[in-house]
Amino acid sequence: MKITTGQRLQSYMKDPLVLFIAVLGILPLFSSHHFYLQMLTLVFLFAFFSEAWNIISGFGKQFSLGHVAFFGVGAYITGILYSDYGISPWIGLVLSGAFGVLLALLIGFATFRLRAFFFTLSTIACAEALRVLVTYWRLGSSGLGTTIPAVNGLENLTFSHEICYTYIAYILLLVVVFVTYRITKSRIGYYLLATGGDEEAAKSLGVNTYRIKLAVFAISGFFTAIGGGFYCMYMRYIEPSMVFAVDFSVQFAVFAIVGGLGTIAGPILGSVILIPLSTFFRSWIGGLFTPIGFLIYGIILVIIILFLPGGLMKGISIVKDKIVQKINNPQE
Amino acid sequence: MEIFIQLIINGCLTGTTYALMALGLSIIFGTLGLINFAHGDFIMLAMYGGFLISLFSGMDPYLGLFIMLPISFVLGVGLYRVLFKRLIDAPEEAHIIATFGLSFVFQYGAMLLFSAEYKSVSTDYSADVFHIWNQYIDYPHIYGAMAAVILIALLISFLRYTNTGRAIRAVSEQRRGAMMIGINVHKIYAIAAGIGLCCIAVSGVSLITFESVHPTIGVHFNLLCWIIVVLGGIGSIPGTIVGAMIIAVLEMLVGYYFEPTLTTFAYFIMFLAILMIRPSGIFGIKERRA
Repeated sequence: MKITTGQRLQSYMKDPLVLFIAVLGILPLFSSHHFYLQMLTLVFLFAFFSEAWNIISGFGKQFSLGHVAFFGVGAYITGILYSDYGISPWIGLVLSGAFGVLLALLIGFATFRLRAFFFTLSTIACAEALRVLVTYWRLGSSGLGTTIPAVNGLENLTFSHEICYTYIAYILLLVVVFVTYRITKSRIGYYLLATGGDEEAAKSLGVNTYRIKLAVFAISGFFTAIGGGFYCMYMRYIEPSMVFAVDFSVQFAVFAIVGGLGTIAGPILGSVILIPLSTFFRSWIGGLFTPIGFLIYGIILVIIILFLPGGLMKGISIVKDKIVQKINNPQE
Repeated sequence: MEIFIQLIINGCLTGTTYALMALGLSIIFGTLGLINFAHGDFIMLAMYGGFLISLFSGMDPYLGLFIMLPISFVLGVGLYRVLFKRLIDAPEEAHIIATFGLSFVFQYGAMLLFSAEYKSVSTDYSADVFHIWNQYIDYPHIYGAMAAVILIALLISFLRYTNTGRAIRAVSEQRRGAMMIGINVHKIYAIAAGIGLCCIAVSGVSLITFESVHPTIGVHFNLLCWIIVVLGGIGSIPGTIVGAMIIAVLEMLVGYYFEPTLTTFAYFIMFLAILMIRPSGIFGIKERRA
């Protein structure tokens, strides 16, 4: 039976996740203050990165900590092309995506034969090698760091009002959520889940796990690179130690893990909770004692990992099950 | 040619210190199966420990080891009881993220206590140089290498000739089997964590005599140790030592003949190449693919 677009739309509407994302989309309209808009932009952007990371590392269980390589490559391509050659960032974003795919295929080709933890280590090594190389080359006309010139206009991806960035980030998030959803409902998605579950078993059933992982890694790299390009246009400054920092990879992972690894809602939930939290700690305990904020943040992270192993989504589903049970057997 | 020999000697001397800190990681990973990404930050803390001791007592950092070793051991046991014990049965990504959180705590804690400035220790022999066959070797590196060799020798004989050492090897080989013959696995885990931190303490104290410390230095050491351990083959002590030597010498050679900033690039590339050709490392056992 063919499912019509209308029926599909109806089924989407019933999903609480869709409602959640829709509410998030309305939020910027009510936040007049620049500070909140900025925070929302970061929330959407990091939810986007975390979601892109989650495709390969959550669903496919290929725990990559080298995603910052795509991020950095995207930022550098978009940034340098615009600031040094005056090429529109839109073209830069397309090129970033293309290079993201290429880089993903290259890294994947080299590392996907490795298992579990060795894969993680080698992705870090790849990203770090790239960082050192970019530092060495001193890309960009102005030496080590490159400032992106600000000329307002849609063609320059530069806006005077923060809300434009917020909504671009939101649209990016929508796209990646949709793509992830479609992947999970497709043949590739089932292959991917099988590969993540038990690679040997998937292989024995005739799944070409290597190719599946490579394809999904490329999709993930594509989005991360585009996001990197946008991040560079948003932050207006790039530097190798900044856009190639392992911390970014870890953050993508942290948001997804805290929210719920291998779920679509997880990364969004993670960044919706953790980014305001870290912003709060940074602005609340500012000045000389800024490290305290990070310290508390680290402790919270450890506690969440220890006591909520499946992430918040797991916690929600446990609570939901309990409530359903209570309703079904009220006497117990 | 003389410079080449000098570089090799310096590389090997630094390599022994690297070997010691990588052994700390190797013992914790090999025995507990814990993927510790805060290892570099433990080294950073040990370096600050050496710095504090020489700052407050004016003692040589090496003498401070008599205080630091027991503290490190207790700290290791405590960490195992509080954190590692809950982690070891969790999936690998939980290890990685939780220890990253820990490293966050250590880094910013250190920043809070010591500020982000570079700190270093000057000893009586800081500027002394040993002169032999046209080669100049500085004493801090020689003492560091001696300390590392002594500790590695102690560690190997401990693992080989004492019952606790044998139990550690048994647990790291097969946890269930060790349990079955009546080894108290949790006690062994705690001891292994303590010994791992002792290795770190000694290597941190050696490092502080010839390198300055700052709160984020651990990030570098962390990757370095992991690369050494994987390069040499997980669970193999000779492998780890050889891996450390290779990395340290490579660092010296690339830094001198090519470009100091590219040293990290060189060993990352070598690491990737080794993983591609021989995923179990130089001395690793073929079957034990993780």
